[in-house]
Amino acid sequence: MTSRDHILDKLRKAAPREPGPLPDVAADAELYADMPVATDVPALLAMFEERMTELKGETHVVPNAEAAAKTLESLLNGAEPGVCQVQDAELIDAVLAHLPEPPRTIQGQEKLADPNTVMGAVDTSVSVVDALVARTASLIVRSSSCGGRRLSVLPPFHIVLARASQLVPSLEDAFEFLSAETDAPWSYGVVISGPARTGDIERILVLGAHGPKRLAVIIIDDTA
Amino acid sequence: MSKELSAFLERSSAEIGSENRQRALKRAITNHEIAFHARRSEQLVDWQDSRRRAAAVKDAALANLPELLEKFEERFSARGGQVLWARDGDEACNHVTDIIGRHGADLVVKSKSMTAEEIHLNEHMEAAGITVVESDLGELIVQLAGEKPYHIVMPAMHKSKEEIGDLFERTLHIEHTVDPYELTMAARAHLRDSYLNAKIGMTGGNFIIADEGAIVVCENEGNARLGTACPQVHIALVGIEKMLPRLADLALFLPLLATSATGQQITCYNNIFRGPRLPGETDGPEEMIVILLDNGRTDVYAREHYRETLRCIRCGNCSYVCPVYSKIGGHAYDTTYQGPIGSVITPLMKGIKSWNHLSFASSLCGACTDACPVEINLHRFLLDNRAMAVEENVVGGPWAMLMRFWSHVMQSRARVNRYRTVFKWIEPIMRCLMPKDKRKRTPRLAKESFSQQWRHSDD
Amino acid sequence: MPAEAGFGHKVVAQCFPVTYTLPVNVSTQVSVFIPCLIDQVYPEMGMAMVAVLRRLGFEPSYDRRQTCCGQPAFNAGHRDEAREVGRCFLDVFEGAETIVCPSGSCTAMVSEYFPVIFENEPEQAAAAAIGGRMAEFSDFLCRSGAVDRIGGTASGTVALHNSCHSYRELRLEDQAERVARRIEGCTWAQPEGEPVCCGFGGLFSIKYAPVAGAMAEKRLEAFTENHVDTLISNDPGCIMHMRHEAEALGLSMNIVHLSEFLDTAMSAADSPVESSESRR
Repeated sequence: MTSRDHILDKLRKAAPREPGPLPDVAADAELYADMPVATDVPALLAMFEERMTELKGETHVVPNAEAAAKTLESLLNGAEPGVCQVQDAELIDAVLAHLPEPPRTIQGQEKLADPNTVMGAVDTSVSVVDALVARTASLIVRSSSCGGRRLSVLPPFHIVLARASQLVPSLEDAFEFLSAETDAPWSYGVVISGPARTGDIERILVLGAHGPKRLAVIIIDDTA
Repeated sequence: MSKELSAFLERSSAEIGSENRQRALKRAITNHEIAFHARRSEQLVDWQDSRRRAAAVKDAALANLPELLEKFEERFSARGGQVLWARDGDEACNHVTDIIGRHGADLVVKSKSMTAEEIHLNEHMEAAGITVVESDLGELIVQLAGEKPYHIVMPAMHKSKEEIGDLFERTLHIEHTVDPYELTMAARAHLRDSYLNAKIGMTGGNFIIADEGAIVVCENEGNARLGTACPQVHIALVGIEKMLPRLADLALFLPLLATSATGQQITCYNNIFRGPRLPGETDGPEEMIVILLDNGRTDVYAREHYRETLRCIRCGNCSYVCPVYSKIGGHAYDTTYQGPIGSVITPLMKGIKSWNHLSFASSLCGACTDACPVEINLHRFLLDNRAMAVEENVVGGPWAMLMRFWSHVMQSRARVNRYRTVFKWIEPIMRCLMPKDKRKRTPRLAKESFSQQWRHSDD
Repeated sequence: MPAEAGFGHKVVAQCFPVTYTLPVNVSTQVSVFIPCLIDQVYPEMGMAMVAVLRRLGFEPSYDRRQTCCGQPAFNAGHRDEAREVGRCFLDVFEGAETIVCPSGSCTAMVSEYFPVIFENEPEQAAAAAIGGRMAEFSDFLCRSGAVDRIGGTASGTVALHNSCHSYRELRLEDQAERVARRIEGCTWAQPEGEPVCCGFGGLFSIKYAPVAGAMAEKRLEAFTENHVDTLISNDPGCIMHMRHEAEALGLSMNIVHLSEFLDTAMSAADSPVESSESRR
């Protein structure tokens, strides 16, 4: 008997004959006291910014792609010298169009896909996200749409370009989104809440343990 | 006294007598307590409600476990993932070394997995000539120190920054420092190459998601992400009881786990692994293998009343609140799962004969039961284990005799009074034989019992 | 229900507490249950409770047949022996309408765990019901309203150690403190936060003495830090264990039962006699 059959068999023998229905999934509003007060963009933006600051990440709210480009430029100017790796994405292209002379070498997706690219040499990355969660200041990232797995974790400085319309109130919305059918099948997703951290040494907070030490989210709010 | 109990007491006394350990325990526990209470009231509308719901979801997952495991396997496999089943630790270890051997690799970068600790996977891999690099900072520290984890969530809880500074200077050959940031950066630098060059990455799993066909790994450092983004193979080892039916259940469990484990709103990275890299994706492992581990879980499952213990989401909160753990720390238990949950499940999984002393090592204060985010009746299971130990005759003979005698006396007031008179004669002799300091501290029998005094007042 | 593999006794974990219910017409007649530890070693704690109850207008009766609730055996895993002793308890207290007990742990044994040890036994119904008739001392004083008639004086810096069984099994969060605070003249130095175990745990304090001792030392620290000179508790086991450790540490702290604290304070103030209107 295979181990699989052995295990399933043992479980089946002991499992209740009629296990009953699964409990309903509770709404986040029932569970969480720290929900956004309203679900309009200004309220969600305010909460996202507040929570992201608590997590020691940065939020930059700008009105358009041009302003986003300026913010990106100043972030790159202030960052470690080195290559900046970006992914192919409409939003990134739109912003970079306003930055014809970037302060750093910017590598495109073709470099990322090239196995000879030494990701270790890249200091900054720019990616998009699939959604932003206000309550927990989380980024919802999937490998198929956000430039793969390494882009948002290897470089010490991760910059995100997003739109305010991507904001959702709480995690339940994010998981609903992730569960939905998609044209772009994904093998990996991650809920990112802040720069990397550890408390393993005397519970003293240290940022940048292995993942990015610095996380900046540029949100284009074109709803105003 | 059994040799296990005697060894346990020796280890406990050593921990109690160590100023360093007591300081480290106090610091970690106090910090956690503050963070946990603050976060719980900030984040949750009603802790009791959240844990009741979480218990109900876990119970439903367990009640439907065979079907959910099959569903997981089907959906995960449909995307190119492989599922292996392991009856016991040896089988799981062999799966791992087979996979590594097949790829001709000799280096594994590994993120934290208590399940891997449980089956002594590192020792098995090292014996097969494979270098294991622990990438979680706490696990790296204990690995470099040649020790076992001190707590299931905070493995290096017992180490001060001074001790870690000395350790890193000695083993990583860096300039001496006690600055946590510098120490962490040293670890980061030390591990960087492993991520980029290792062929094999290993993780544990916090949750199995049936409807999504996914494994969820919760972490703060990004080491699990790195260990699964670059290598060609991702092996995930996970106990079968980690099941959640739906992705949507994570909206309850991720914040609850983070609150209970570290006092965070949510852990920094919650990874959802659905399989190997798909066509069109930029990167990711070519192969992803999930090893579903039994190793005694089906035995616990088969005992309907104990099945509740399989709800455990390994948050470690019970250890933090346990007044016993707060004095003796994790190493005294000498087993993978420490604190209250460990004291409940270790006798069930590793045998009541050699491990019942853990279930007796408690004052039954009940703090653990109140702290558990999935409402496991921990202190009551300790009582059940004790009764089981007595039933199976693994508790020392003299105690059983003593209890029978005690019961015999206690069933009759006349007998109590009679034996009291006898004992009052023996007592002074016994006291003389005691060491002086014990004598001072041991209370005497009262001159007259309450019952005798009452009788006088009646007359 | 599938048979328990190799373990015939009902598992405790599925049981829920039975709490004391105040009878609709509170009688002044109450039965007392004196824990074996108080009976044999600390009778003064029992006498003090009786004295306090009398001062508050109750007529406590003591059935001399009583011995023990069976908890030491139950906690040690010896359920057969616990049942034998428990049977006697059920017999003695069969007719008692209200049982008052100066120990949270004994009260919890009866109300939480009697239903467990007597499941499928002839005494099952009696065991399920008795918890509803038994109250821990401070809980009884609060529920009956007698707490409002308590008055007295004491001096010094006091604090209360609420036993784990009272706090977690019986869910008595503040009853003992409420009662003790009726006494005037002393300074309260109660540590913040939830109560922490003193480390008694019955036979645990003997079998695991080094650990239990360390736990007691830690618990006492919370009080010595606050310069407490009189520590009050509602459980004789906790008191015995903490006195034991306090002696070893050379502390001058007095550790007393709530009943003793009240009795002394009430006689010091020549406690007021209740008027018949204020008695409910």
